[in-house]
Amino acid sequence: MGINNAYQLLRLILSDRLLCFFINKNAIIKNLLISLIISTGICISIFISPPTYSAQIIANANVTVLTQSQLRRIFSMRQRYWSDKQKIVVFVLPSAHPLHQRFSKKDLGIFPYKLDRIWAKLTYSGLGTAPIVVQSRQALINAVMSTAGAIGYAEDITEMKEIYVITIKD
Amino acid sequence: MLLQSKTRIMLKILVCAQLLMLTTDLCAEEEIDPDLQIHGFIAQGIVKADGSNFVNDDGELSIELTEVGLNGSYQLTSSVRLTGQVTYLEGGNRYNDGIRIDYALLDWSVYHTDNWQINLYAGRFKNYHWLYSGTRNVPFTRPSIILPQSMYHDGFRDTALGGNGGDLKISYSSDASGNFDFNLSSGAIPLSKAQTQLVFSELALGRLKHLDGLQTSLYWQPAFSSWRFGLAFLDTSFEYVAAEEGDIFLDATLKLQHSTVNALYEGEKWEFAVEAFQGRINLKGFYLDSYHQEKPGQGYYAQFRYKIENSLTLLARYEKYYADKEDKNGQNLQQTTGGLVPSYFGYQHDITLGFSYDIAEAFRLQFEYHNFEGVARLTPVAAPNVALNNSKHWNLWAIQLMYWF
Repeated sequence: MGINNAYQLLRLILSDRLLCFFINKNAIIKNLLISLIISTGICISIFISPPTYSAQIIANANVTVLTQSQLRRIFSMRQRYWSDKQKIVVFVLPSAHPLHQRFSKKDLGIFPYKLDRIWAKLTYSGLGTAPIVVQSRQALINAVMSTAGAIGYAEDITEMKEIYVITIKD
Repeated sequence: MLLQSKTRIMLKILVCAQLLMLTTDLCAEEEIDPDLQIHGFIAQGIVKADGSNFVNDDGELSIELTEVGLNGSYQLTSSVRLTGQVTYLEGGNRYNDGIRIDYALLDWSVYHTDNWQINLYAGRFKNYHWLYSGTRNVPFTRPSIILPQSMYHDGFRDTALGGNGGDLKISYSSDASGNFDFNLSSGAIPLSKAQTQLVFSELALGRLKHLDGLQTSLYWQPAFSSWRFGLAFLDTSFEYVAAEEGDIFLDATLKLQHSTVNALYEGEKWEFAVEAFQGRINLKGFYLDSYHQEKPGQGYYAQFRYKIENSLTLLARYEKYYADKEDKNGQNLQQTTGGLVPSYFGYQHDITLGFSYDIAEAFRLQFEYHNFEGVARLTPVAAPNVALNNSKHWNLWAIQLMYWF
């Protein structure tokens, strides 16, 4: 009776362990699969999805380096003159343009709707002027090229004779 | 009456067409002149107030919700600019209809560095001191069609608009301490007979004169913060010169003092604004030579906005206003007038719900519903119509379509 009981108990323990093993095995496999999928996803997103570029800052003024704070001040119209006292003329794309949205959020750190409000307040109260809105990327580059003291943004351009691509330092 | 209404509608359509043509011309212009900027806006809506004569006396649906403006800016030299804006407004009983010079300024950039910007403005300036006062008549810059009346009482709209004189603006930006904006303005605004009667009723045959006004404000936005905090102070005085014949009112002086605090948070989705004021109105004369009344008014509002998506924003606002903070329930007002003026003329509270939807770029539809308790912010400011405003609770809804360029 004692041997039988011990045998039954051993079977029970073994079968339970076996069951646990299978359960754990399934869980381990499941976890491994999930990890594999996630890591594959991360690898794919790193290598395949496009990186979020910052816009290039371009200017028709004797400037090659600006800080992000200066950039914010210039585009929120709090700094209206270059260091050499030349008037800054700011050009932008329409508010809904993807490049403007990206530039506003990533390079300036200001939500596009806030920029719109700042500019509207200046324009319609008489306190100042808003940036000049042009309709396309090329028109923006052309406007900066042809206007002394101008600043704007672009992407994928190399430095040209008429404009500087400005480095932004933190 | 019907003919008049039709003529007005035709005129409005004509003005709209002219402005749209101007916009098309401006857009078609390929040459960019960085020294010249022309902008404008046009808005038309319908409004209905049930239970008060806030908009009109008959309480019917009204199209008196028109706002049109055109402005220009020309850079004369690198530091001097000329700018001006003309507006045409229709707001029913809220304010006087017609064309106005909203601002006309010579802007001189006195001093400027990377961090400092000091400007002097001379001419007709606006009130730049409260959260929405600088552009209160520009529909798309407002959070709602009807602004919180505790702060932006339409009856005092023209007197609070700005003045002829000068304004000094000092802006300082620092990476460590943030952005500071200081404003100081001094001047007076000429008031018409119609504007006098908007304050004192049609029985006032004399003329209200704005003698002087001094206003100052300081705003601070901590570095890289979504918050902005402000303080403002107003001290202004008026004189009522009674008509030589037939005027039931006497010469009077009216002094207003107004202190304001505000805070604004602008996040990616959420926006929160609060503005509170305490004011003092001091009236001498007018009813009797010996008459002297001093009322400490008080009001505040808290406003939430939530952007569901880029084109759709919801609005909720809670507002309180007391004409006399020492008589918040208006009982004293009722007693001192022998029951002639009900107690609910002593306060005005408002709950507003609304939304704005951007149909296309620079083209917006705005809707709102107000639930009011009390009628302390009606016109004429000094003698609102008791017979027409026989209800303590009233409501208003408005919808407005706006376009700007």
